[in-house]
Amino acid sequence: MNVIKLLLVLFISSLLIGLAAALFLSPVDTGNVAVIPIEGPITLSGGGLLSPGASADLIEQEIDKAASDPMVDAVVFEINSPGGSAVASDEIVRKIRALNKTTVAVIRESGASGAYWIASATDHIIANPLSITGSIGVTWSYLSFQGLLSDYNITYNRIVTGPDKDIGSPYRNLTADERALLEQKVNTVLDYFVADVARNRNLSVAKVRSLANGTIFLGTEAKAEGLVDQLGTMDTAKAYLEKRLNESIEFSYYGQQQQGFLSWLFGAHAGIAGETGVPAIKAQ
Amino acid sequence: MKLIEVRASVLRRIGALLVDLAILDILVYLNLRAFFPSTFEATLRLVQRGGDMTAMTVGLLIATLYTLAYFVALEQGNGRTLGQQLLRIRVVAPKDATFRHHLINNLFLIPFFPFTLLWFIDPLYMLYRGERFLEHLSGIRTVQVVTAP
Repeated sequence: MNVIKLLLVLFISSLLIGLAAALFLSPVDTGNVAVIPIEGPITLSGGGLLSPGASADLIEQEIDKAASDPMVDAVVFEINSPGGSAVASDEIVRKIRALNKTTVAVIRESGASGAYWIASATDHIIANPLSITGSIGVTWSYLSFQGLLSDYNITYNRIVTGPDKDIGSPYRNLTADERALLEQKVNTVLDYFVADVARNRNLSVAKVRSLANGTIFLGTEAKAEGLVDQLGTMDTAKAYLEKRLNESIEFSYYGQQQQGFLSWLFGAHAGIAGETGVPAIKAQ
Repeated sequence: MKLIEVRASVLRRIGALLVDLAILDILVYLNLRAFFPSTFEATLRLVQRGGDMTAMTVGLLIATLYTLAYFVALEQGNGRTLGQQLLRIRVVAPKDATFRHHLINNLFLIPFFPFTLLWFIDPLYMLYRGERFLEHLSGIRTVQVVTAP
């Protein structure tokens, strides 16, 4: 028996198997803290090919996955979003509240409006001192092309079954009554938004309402107003969780969202630049 | 003074096993790292929490096959492993011993149930009978050479 030959065979064959495993297998995931990104404008389905953003549907699936994973003790929401659809934001907020694990929001460049709403539902918010956050408010703005159509002698033939049926149509201007109606709707959404943030952050409704004029706050300003808990980064979140959970923390990165062409071309806020007259009410 | 073969002492057996496992660690186990979590703490967490252990199980199976191949091939072909050579012990098999006998002699190396029961049965049997349970089954003895008056 040639011992050297045997040992060589064992070594080389195991090396090849190990290399194949390293190339084709994902690293064994043993993280005890799920990191779920919320990147870009928030909508239910996440936008389209040219400029996807944060999909509430996908984020909710990731939250469910973290909820049912026995390895996961806590969830960190890594937020870099200007906000988005009120419905999409609300759905995510409800999911976070139903999650029976420690949650932390880490606001990176921006966590404004709907994104801040989501952050407020977590147990602890961390923002960079220079993060853009706050912007508690609602918009339902859109472009109206009535003037442009008139310039080109294009007629909008209005055939409707009720006076409000084509309210918000970009082909004609709003009437005063229609404007009042839409403003009443956005104020209703704002009331809901404000009440929710007040509940989440244990602040009075009056206090949140005083901040809810759409103003953005830098991280430091937001901390002074009680909108965030701590200034820092993902490392700060790790240290916070290690102390809170009394165990060492290993992040497990969930749901990496793909970047669309416009996002890649223009950066993180391409989704806003690309939107025109979107009918959804936006907490943005 | 003459040389006689006696059953190998427990200390030498354990020493030889540790040396062989260290050799296998360098030659084989380190190459299979990709199947396992990066730290022991992470591995413990995976096991305790009931996480996905598929990759780790496959890695353990592969490592076990290599371990058995090392021990069986060297004991059958050479009469001893490298660790046994270092500790001056060897295995003595009957003339008609086959691959199957040597495999039986090393079943305790398989880290899966029910073979893990052998980690208790083998030493307990040795305590009362002077030989391992698997040695009794396989007919293979582990001996060391001593001088006798």
